[in-house]
Amino acid sequence: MKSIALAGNPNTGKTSLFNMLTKSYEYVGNWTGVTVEKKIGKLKSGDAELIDLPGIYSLNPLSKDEGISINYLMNESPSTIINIVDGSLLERNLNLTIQLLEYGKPLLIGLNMVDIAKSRGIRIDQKKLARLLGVPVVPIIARTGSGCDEILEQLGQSASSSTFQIDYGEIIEEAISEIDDRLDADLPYHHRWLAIQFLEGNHVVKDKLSAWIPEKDLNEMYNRTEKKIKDTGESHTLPSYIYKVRNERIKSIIGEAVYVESKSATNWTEKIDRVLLNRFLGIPLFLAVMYLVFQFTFDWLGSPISDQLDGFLSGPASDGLTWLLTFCGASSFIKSVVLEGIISGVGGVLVFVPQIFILFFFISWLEDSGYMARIALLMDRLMSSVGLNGKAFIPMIIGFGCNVPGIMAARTIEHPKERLLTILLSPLMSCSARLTVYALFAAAFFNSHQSLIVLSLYVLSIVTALLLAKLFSSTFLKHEDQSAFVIELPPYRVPQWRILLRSTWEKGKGFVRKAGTFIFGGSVVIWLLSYAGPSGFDVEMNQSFLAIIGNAIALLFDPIGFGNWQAGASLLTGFLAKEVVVSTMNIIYMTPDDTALQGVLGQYFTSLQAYSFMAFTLLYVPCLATVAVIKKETMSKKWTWFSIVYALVIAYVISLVIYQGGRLLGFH
Amino acid sequence: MIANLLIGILIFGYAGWTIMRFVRKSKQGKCAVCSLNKRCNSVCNDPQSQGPKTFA
Amino acid sequence: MTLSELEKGLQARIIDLSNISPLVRRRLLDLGILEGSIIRLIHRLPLRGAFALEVNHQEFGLRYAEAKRIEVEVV
Ligand SMILES: Nc1nc2c(ncn2[C@@H]2O[C@H](COP(=O)(O)OP(=O)(O)OP(=O)(O)O)[C@@H](O)[C@H]2O)c(=O)[nH]1
Ligand SMILES: [Mg+2]
Repeated sequence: MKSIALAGNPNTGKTSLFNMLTKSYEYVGNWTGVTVEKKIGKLKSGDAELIDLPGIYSLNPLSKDEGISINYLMNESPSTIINIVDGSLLERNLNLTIQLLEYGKPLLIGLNMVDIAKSRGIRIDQKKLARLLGVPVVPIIARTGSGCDEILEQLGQSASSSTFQIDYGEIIEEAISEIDDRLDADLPYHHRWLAIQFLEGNHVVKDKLSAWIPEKDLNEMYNRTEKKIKDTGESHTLPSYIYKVRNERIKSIIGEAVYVESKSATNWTEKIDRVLLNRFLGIPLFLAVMYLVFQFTFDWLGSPISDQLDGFLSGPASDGLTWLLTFCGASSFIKSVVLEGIISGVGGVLVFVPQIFILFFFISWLEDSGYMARIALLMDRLMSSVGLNGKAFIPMIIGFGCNVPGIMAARTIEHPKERLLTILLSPLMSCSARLTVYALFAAAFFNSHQSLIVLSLYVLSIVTALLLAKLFSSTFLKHEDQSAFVIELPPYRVPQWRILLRSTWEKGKGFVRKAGTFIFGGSVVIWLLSYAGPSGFDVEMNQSFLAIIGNAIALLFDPIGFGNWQAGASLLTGFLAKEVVVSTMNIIYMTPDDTALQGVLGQYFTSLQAYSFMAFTLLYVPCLATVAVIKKETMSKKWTWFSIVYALVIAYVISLVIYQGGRLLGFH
Repeated sequence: MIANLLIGILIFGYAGWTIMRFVRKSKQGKCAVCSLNKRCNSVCNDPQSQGPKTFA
Repeated sequence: MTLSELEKGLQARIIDLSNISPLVRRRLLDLGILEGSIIRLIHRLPLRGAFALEVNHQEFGLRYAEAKRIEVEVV
């Protein structure tokens, strides 16, 4: 099947277009580096594959996500490339366009954000632009889908490559032909393109070239050419010289095809930033936003809905099921597995669906508004003082939803050690699965201050992460070399309802699906372990296998406040997925619903012990899926094990401090 | 009796299957919570692309 | 003078970028920012925190440490 790739600068709307042209839905957000891996979807017209790629500024990668894009473009050779260009920032975007034209694959330009360009008084003559570049140009608004039909139509026509060429001046042209002479005629790449990229300092291309030309010769050629350029006094380095020549050409193209009417539209983005980036208000406002989100998620909206759901599941739903089972003549064994295992385990998790969707809704809202990049900016001072980068805050916020995409988002961090540090610390971020544990315990023990207690756990996770970052970065992850922090601050956008709802659903549906699959299976197994013991079936809960397993580790948890086998067993099963902690507790305490469980928990935990338990659950180990992603992203067994072990240690230490410290202070 | 057997097999069979699938998927690094990677198999991550190299 | 000394709201032309780290220089180039670009300071966060700047209708953020190494002249 034909494959068509989407390439372009970050945050220009590639994924938005991808979602319009295919049946699939991928992650859209208003900051640079939302997409960090290849995504494949089938065109709605059905005859080709569309590949969405991470955003790139040039064909020379700096960060891992850029590397993925460029590797794809060079090695998989798609039949057509759609270059998405931000019409409101044409000059910068055309730099990549020209490199793609030189690459020589059939190209189609999607001129996006024409609505924004228009509001700034920028008018682009797309026919002229198409003629100057030698490829078709289609104006689109990817957000609304306008222009998508024309894109599909253009894709249907037979594509040809452009003959666009820039004369880089005598010195460079000489070097290009020197390289050309030494290359075989039947390479899969244009020699001219290889040569230009090499002279621009593209290390991926250099690696490729060294298969045909010895590296020594390449270096010699590069240095010789660079010296000649320096002698002319035009530029200090080869890359900046090539950039300049290209930029002159871009300016002349823009001069011909773009008209700017000076239009003094209000710059809302700057107005909003005046408040949100205010010297004194910036960080307090961020905390206030987070607090509001938790208020909605718990006190104001989430909990009331959850209670309704809880009432329904434990009332009509389980009554109906009991009746149905009796009607079928089910044995007590079957009744028990359904009512005490599945209903308790799955239902106990399902009741938190409202809270989780509300939280995801707000995270989606943050993502699409443009505030994320500002948060990174606000936090950079703090983050850099602990050896991290402001950009690391974005993976952490995504991690509040789920740690897995959070860890992947670290790919945009350029510095390898900062990236590793971000990957290692992201699992400490309190993901939505852990929310179920807080929701349960906060409602049972801290009813009047639920969102405050939950917020305190989120703050605890961030503070712990920062302290550990400081510790790690000043010991074994020390780096002297300068890190980079240059972050684009995109214009604020009012998120569209359609995108918001879709994105909330896409994030939340996995939670629901998991409840119906894995949590179901897990509940059955846990129930079986609590039903069977060494002496046979239907034993006293305290004599069951589960109790034996729980008891084996309970002693360890005694100093941190929950030395009962129930807590031990729940935490053990929680390694697979953190919601299972809640399922297990529901099954162990044999309560039909969360309201009843909250009552029972009061007999086993004090408030202080409960808080210690929540803190331990927050930190203790990354779930199985997260561990697997850490392994994949670090490509190291050592770091994967490290992430598990340090989390266990720090969880224990912090819970110990909370519990013993709390007791000293007279709490109980 | 038959009904009991049937329901039992159904429940335990399904439970076993979901757990096996979950562990297998999680081990591959596929996110169970967010279904981020549901469509792509080997293609979503290519092992060749190394980490960033500093541009000198 | 250096970019870090620029007053809020004022514009300046970049004259020298050679003292900043290559990684940052490359990223600035990606955004189309090089010697000769006209830059405007929008915000400055406290305690030598990050700067919010604007070039060609595009806002971006930069660290104080980097801004200190960029030579500019007010226009
Ligand atoms: N006003 C306007 N906004 C758009 C348009 N197209 C996309 N957007 C918005 O721009 C932002 C970025 O869109 P994405 O599709 O995530 O961009 P991307 O190119 O995939 O970004 P990366 O994955 O980071 O490279 C989102 O907030 C979109 O809603 C458009 O034509 N007009
Ligand atoms: Mg994208």
